[in-house]
Amino acid sequence: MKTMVDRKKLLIIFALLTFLFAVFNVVFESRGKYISPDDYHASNSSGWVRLNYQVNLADLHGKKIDTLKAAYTALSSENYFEIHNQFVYIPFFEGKEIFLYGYEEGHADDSIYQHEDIVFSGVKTVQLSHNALSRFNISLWRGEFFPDANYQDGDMVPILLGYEYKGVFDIGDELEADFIEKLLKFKVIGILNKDSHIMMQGYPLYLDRYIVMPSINCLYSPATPEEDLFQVRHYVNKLEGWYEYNNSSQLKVLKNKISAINETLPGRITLLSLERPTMIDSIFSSMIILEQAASWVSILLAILLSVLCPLIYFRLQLKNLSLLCTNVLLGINYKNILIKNILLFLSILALSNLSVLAILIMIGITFTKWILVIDTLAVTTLILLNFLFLKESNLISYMGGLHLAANTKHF
Amino acid sequence: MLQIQSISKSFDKKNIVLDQAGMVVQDYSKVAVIGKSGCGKTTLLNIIAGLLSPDDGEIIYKDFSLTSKSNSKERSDFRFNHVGIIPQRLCLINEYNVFQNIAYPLRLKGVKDNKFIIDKVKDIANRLNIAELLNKKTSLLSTGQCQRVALARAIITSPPILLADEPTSALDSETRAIVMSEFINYPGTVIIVSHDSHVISSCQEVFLIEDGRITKM
Repeated sequence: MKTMVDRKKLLIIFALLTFLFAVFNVVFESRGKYISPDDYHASNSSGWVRLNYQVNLADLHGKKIDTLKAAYTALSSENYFEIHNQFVYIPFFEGKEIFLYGYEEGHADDSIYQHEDIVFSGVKTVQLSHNALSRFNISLWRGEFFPDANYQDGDMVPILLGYEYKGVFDIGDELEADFIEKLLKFKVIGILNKDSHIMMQGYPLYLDRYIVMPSINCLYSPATPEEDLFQVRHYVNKLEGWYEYNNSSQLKVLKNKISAINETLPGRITLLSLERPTMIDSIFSSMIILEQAASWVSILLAILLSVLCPLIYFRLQLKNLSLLCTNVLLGINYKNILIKNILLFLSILALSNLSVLAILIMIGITFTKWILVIDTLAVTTLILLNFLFLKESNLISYMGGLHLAANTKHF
Repeated sequence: MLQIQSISKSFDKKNIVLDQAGMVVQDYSKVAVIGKSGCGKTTLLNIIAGLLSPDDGEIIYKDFSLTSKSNSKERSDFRFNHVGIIPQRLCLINEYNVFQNIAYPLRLKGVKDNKFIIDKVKDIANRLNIAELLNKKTSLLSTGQCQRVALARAIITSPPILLADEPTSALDSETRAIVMSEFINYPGTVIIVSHDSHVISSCQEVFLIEDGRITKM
């Protein structure tokens, strides 16, 4: 009976130890691991944030364009990139359907409309600030880059074409385009190399089917309400650029700058990922929340497994006791019995340990070296203690002559 | 002939259980070993079975010799080939049913012929009046039924030496008679440790263990 009592005590002790170990792992390793989306950028030493300008356009009519331009100037820096995906309407566009806005989504036809006798096609265009071209190492197949990004009314706007425009237009060709309801004149000054792309949030935007135009700076004051509306809309876009930060203090400076700008502007500029998530950010946030929920389920599962597996093992051991004794009785060599038992033990222990580790790693918990060392030690101790109590002499004692239990010395 | 020669066994060096004890058991004889509780009856049985090694002395059976120097493998080989045991704690496998428990030694010995196994088990079960229990889990049986299952398991491979530790302690008189009949008619040497006077009177020879010594009565 003594042996049985010892085994039960061991069972409880190991179940508790394993449980505590699992909790220990979870609590210490997951602390600070799951961060809210708001803290996401702050916790990274480098990265990108996008600015979002929330404003009612009606509030920007008349004399506000100077405020917008001032805000833009204040924001401008080497780290501020304008990357806008604003398509343009080109009359009598001669290019293929692949250049049309919505082609990849299967609704290119929607981007074509007819006004009187003129057919306008919505053509994919990106507006890039000058620093964006160098930031993303965009190279030319032919031609030259933008001389500058400033634009006087009536000026020709230089454009670059994606590689697939090769043969459609050539350098020197001129086009007319409706850009935010303002008719501009485009002149092709270069064609990009094949597979030129910009990376945003880890995803490439290939420019092969795009017109690349500079994010123009309007140096003149609007003379008409239409021009004012154009500039307002254009500068609202320009204020929604991307900021690349290399350390958290840069991010802090940007936030302070935005706070100051917000004092002067109608509406409010925010950092998208930090303050008002876009749909993508919302999905990202939802995924984190889901992941957190899943992680709790996983943690519970891990804890459950960490307790259940040793319990199952010890239960099996107890059940196997009669089988082990029978094998001893019937003359099976104890070494063979021990090997079988070791295999059983290891398989269950591996199941337990690996399951818990796998689950914890799966949910993003990384293990420091010493945690692994402790885990290994715990496992080894468990193995050693188990076989300390599983001796042939104990099995024989179990069959009868229990008074021999702790005293048999011969094996 | 089974010879137990000058066997000594002590536990913790203070508790001398057997002291130069010896006995000779002829083949096919039915022997009872008696003595007070704790006198060393079970220890003697365990030594004969090779479950324990003696501190001194020798067990000789045919070509086999077990001494204090015999290793675990030699002792388990001896047990595997020559000995059937019914221990005090019967060590039936609770997850198996009665049939599987009885057939288990045959399986261990590599018998693959299922018909042979079934016939053999049924034959023994009928003799011991446990045929109706064959499909039952042993955890559902009474102690007396378990004792008969353990007996059936011990004799199914017809070992030349059968060792039984208090095999009738939980049996009623009718069942005891069945079991004893099995022992008496067993085609091999039987050594029974018992306090039961019916068992003792059924055996051809009786040995008494007293003060570590074995005396023939």
